Amino acid sequence: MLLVARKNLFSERTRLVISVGGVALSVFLISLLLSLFRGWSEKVGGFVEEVQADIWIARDGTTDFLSAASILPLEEGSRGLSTIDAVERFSPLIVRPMAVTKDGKKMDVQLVGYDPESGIGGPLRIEEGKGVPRQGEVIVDEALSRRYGVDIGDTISAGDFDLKVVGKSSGGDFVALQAIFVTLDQAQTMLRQEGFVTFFLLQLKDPEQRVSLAPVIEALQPGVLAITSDDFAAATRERILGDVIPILTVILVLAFIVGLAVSGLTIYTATVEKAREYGILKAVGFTNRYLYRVVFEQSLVTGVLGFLLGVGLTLLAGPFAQDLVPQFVVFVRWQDVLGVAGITLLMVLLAAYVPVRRLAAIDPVAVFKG
Amino acid sequence: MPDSRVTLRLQNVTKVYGVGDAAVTALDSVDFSAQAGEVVMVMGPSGAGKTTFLTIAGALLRPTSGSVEVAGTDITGLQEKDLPAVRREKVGFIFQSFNLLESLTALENVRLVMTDITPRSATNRARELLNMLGLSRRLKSLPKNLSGGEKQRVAIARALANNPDLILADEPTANLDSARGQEVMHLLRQIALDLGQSVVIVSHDHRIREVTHRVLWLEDGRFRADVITARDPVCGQLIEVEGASTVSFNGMSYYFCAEQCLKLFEAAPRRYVEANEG
Repeated sequence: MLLVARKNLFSERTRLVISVGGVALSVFLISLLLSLFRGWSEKVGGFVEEVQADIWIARDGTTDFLSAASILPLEEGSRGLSTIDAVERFSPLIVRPMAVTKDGKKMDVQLVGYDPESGIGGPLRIEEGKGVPRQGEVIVDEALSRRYGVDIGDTISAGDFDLKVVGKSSGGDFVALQAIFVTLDQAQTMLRQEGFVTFFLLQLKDPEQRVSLAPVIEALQPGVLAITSDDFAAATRERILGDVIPILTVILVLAFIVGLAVSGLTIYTATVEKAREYGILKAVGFTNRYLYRVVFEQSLVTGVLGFLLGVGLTLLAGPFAQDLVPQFVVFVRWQDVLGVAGITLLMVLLAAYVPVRRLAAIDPVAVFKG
Repeated sequence: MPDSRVTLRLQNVTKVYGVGDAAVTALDSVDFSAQAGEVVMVMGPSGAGKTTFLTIAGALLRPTSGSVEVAGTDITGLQEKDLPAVRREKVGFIFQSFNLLESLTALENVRLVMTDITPRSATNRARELLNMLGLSRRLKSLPKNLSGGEKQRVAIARALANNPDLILADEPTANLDSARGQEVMHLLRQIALDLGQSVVIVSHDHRIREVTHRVLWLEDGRFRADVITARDPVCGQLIEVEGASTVSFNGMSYYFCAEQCLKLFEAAPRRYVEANEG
C-alpha cells in the first residue's frame, strides 16, 4: 500500500471508523438479507428436494407443494402407474395445510399423510422418539416443537381428532408453517377423503430418465401433472419467495446505496480536504495516475475492512437472531459471501470515482499561493 | 563559484492568460539563464509575473511562446504526461508555506519523493539529508510539531532528495523570522555551491539579497536593469522608485506601492518611520 494512502487513511481515525462502519453496515444488511433469503429458500424447497422421489404426480394445475390443491383417485392412479415399466415403485401422499391446536393454542401446519411401508414422503430425519407413527399418532417437525413448545407425549388436536406426539423430525420446516406426519389412513380419515390422495411419488428404475418420462406420463394419464422433484421444489420456492424477492431486492439496493453514500461521502470529503496536498504531490512530480491509486487504495482498504466487519457481524448475529425468532432462518453460503465481496468492491470503486475525477482537476500551480 | 553549465534557460518566453480583451500578458519575451552553483534572486512588485516565471521554469505551466530548457532538456517540446518526471527528477521546489504533507513525518515527507530507488535506499538518503540539515532529532516529528524554520529545512531536504539540477524557491523566507530566514538563505547558497545546483529564488524579501549571486527585477512581465528600489514603509514591499507615489517626511522621501499605503502613512507617519527604524 502506498505510504500516502496508508497515512491518509489511518491518521484520521474518526473518519476511518465512519467510513468502515458505513460499508460494514451495508455489507451486514446485504449479507444478512441474502442469508435470510437462502435460509428460507433452503427450508421452503428443501423437503421436496430431499424426498426420495424422482417424479411427483399431481392434478393438472397444481402449483406447488404447500398449496397442494390436488386430488387424485388412489386406486385408478395406482393402476395407471403400475403399467409404466420405467417406474420402480410409487407411493401415495396426502398433503394439506391446516390449523391444529395444542392446549387451545393455534398452530399452522402442513399435514402430511404417507405410507409407512414405503416411507416415501415421510419424515426426512428422525431426531427423537419413534420413526413411524401409528393410527392416532403424529411425528412433528422439531421447528414446530421449538416454536410452540410441542413435545413428545403431548396431544395436538386437528378438528375432531386428537393426535399423540410420538416423535420429532427435521427437514420439514417451511418457515411459515411446519410439517406434521401421520399415516396415509389417518390423513384420509381426518380429511374425510377416503380413496383420494394429493400426490403420487415415483421412484424410477433409471432416475436419469425423469425429465424425459414426465411428459410421457402426462400423455398416458390425461389431467395429471408429472413434474420432477427439482422442478417441483423450484416451483414451491417460487410460490413462497416470489413475492418476497422484489421486497428483498429493494432493501438490498437501499443497503448498497447506504454503503455507497457513506463511503463515497467520507472519501470525497477526505479528498477535498486534502486537495492542497494532492496539489503538492502533483507539483513535486507525481502523476495523476499515482494520485488515483492513492484514492483507490484508501477506498479499497476501507472496503476490505468494512467487508470483513460486515460479514463477521452477519456470522455472529445470524444464529443469535435465529434463536430469538425461529422464522429468521439464515444460511450463509460461501458463494454469497463471494458475491457480497464483489458488491463491496463495486461499492468502493464507485465511491472513489467522483473524488478521482476531482483530483484530475487540481491545479498544482495553486500550491504556490500562500 | 558558479560553473558554466546552464541548468535553466528561458528564451523569448511569453505567457498570456485569457484571450481577446481579457488577455493579460504575465511574461513578455523573457530571456533568462541560470548556471550550476548560482543563486539568482528574482524580485518585483506583486503581479509582476514572478510566480508565472517560476511555474514555467518548473514545468508546471506551459508558455504561450518561447522555449524553456531545464538541465539540457527542452521541456516545451515534451508532452504533458512527461512533465511530472521532469519536475520529479530535475527540479526541486521550495514553497513559501512549506507544503509538507501533514500526516507524514519529516522523514516520510522527504522519502516519499524518491520513487526511483528502493524504499530502504530512500529512507537512508532522507535520513542523510535531514541529518545534514540539522534535523536528526526530528525525523519522526509530524509537520505540526515542527517550527517554521524546521519545516522549511524539511522542505529543502525534500527538494534535494532526487539530487535535482535546479531548485526553485518561492518566497522561502516569507513565513520565517529574520534570523531563520537568513539561516535558510545561507543554507541554500551553501547547497548551490557544494552540490553544484542552481537556486532560483522569487522573493520580496530584500534582506536576503546579500546571499545571492544575482538579483533580477521583474516588472510587467519583463526583466529590467538598473532599477532603483525602495521599501514601502507601510507594507514592507520592495518597489521601483520610478513612478511610485512619494511623500516627504522629516526631510526623507518615502515611496509607496499603492495609494492605500500612502494614505495609511499620511495618517500616522511617525508610527511607520519609527517601526522601520526600530
